[in-house]
Amino acid sequence: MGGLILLSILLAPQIADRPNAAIQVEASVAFGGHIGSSKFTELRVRAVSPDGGTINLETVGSSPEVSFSLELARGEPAEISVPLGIDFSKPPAVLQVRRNQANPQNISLNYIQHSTPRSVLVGSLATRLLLKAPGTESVSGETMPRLPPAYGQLTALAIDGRTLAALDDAQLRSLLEYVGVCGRVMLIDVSGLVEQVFVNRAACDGRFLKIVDSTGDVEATFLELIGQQVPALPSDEQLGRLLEESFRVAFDLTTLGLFWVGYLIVFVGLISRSRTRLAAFGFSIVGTMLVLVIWPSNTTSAYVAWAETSSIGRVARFAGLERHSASRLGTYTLPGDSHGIHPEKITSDTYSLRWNADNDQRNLVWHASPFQQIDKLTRGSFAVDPMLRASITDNNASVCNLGAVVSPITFLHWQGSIFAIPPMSPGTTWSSVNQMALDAVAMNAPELQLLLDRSLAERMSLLQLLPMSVDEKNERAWLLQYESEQLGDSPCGI
Amino acid sequence: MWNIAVTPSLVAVGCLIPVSGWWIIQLSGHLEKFSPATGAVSMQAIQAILLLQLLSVSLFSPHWVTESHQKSPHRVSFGQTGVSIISSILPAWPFLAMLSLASGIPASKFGKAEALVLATGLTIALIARSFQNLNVSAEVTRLSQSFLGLVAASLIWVFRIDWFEWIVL
Repeated sequence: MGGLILLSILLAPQIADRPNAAIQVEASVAFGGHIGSSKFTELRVRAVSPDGGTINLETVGSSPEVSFSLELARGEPAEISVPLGIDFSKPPAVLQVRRNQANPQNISLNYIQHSTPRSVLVGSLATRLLLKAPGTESVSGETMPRLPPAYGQLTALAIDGRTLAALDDAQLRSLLEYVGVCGRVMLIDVSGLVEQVFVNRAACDGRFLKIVDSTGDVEATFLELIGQQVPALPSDEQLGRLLEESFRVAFDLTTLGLFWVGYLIVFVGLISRSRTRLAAFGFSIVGTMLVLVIWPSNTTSAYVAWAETSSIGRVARFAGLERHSASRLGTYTLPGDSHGIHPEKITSDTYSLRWNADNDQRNLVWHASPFQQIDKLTRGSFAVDPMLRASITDNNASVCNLGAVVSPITFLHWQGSIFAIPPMSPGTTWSSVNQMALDAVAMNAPELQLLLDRSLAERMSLLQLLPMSVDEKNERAWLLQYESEQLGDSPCGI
Repeated sequence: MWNIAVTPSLVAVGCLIPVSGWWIIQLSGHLEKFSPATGAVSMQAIQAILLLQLLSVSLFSPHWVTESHQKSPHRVSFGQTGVSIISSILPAWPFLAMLSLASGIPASKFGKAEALVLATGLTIALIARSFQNLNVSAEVTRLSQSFLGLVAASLIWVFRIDWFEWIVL
């Protein structure tokens, strides 16, 4: 079994008259150590000690370095899964184990670098049926990760029902989360109940979830699944544009105007005289620093999420971006999980993770320079029940509220135009008759630019601002709902 | 020792006054922080300033390198040219800092933009300097250098959307 290292460590306790006790530590990398990119994978550590106690562990040479601890009860194994990021340009990462003040012991981590993402076959049946499929690796169910971001490096996954039944709750939740973000998954010989669970969690209208019988042409279905292109969510840069307004400064124009006119007068005066030209350079730099000191942004963190679903879908997948801005040089401690989800990507080289079993003890330690920013990117899914439906009648668009509550702020994209729809009471209908589309200035809003970019020309789409429970000024979530291609009868009953 | 020329800075101030005046007037009509127009207006001002900086260094760099070569024919003149380029972009820095705060775009991206302007000016100056090694008359050399500046400015204008997106995105 690749990636598994079993090591008995003899770590002498600090008290000299107590006998030495051996701690057994096992470290394994998810998916049998197969890594398809430099994204986060998962390291699972299992330890047991006849004496109990606490051991401190740290991944050294990984990107980032992760420190964590395990509380060991006497003779009982303890286990933890932590994020593991590998930078293949650096020497191989190791796991450093330390007990009390003893010298640390290093455990080499076994992982295999692949130049392209791989598909994994989990279980003996999946392996037997799909052995000849290209780009696949056979792994055991035990190596399935508990942290969802570890799935980010896969092309696809095939698993049989028996292996699926042996997964623990955390592994199953992670697999369902992968299905929820339109991951390519094939289930072989599963029960009707299991099938229903997965169908209910599948986003993208279930196009990337294949449930097959082992007696059918499994390989052909798997190859077809791999060939399907999963539509991408907005990129980091596009999400970043949605965050910019959270970090904008609102100026007092009188102060701004006086500052600027004064600066220009002094600068021209200094540069015009040969003796003071160098001082003009310094004055310009000082003026720049003054601007950044007088008018710093009050916002140090903001979050935005962009979710997508269809009008007939029950699951929305989303991409989230959490940005923190440093106003000064220093070390900042940020939450390790963003809104309960571990990030897939963190855009900084100057941070480390503290990761313990308790969610409250998961922190990101960021060593920041002035004005530096750090972004945490997440992917996930959540259940939706679309309350708004759109339809076309006599070349006019209608949007109706089929839900039980007042609808949020909504924008309708139709035939290249965007209409702003005010909150609607349940059972009411909005019509585009005699309504003006938004003008060019209003369309400059980054969320509307993204709506235009992601809308499909031939289908209407609705963009809704979702209510966020904490600090609405700096946290926003948008839900883009594509109208189904199969409208049939008008959903609004018009 | 390099001399700080006054002309490049005054040219920069001349460009700053109308752009900053337009920006402040536009801002006065869209004071709400979360107004989409606030960010859009600031982005337009950023693009205008960067474009003016690139156009001015394209057009004037050949002249600056020639001028410094005439004053010191036996010395490499890029240090003086570099000072002239910096003189033309430095006055705008406080304004770019304000635009960074108003648009939400990190100030570090403007460092990238100013480095691009400096690199562009020095590259054009290097090419213009090489014309002086050609065995042609001074008039032909001056015309060639001016033509080089015009070509560079035209390319900057044509590709303004591409390099601007590279800077801010």
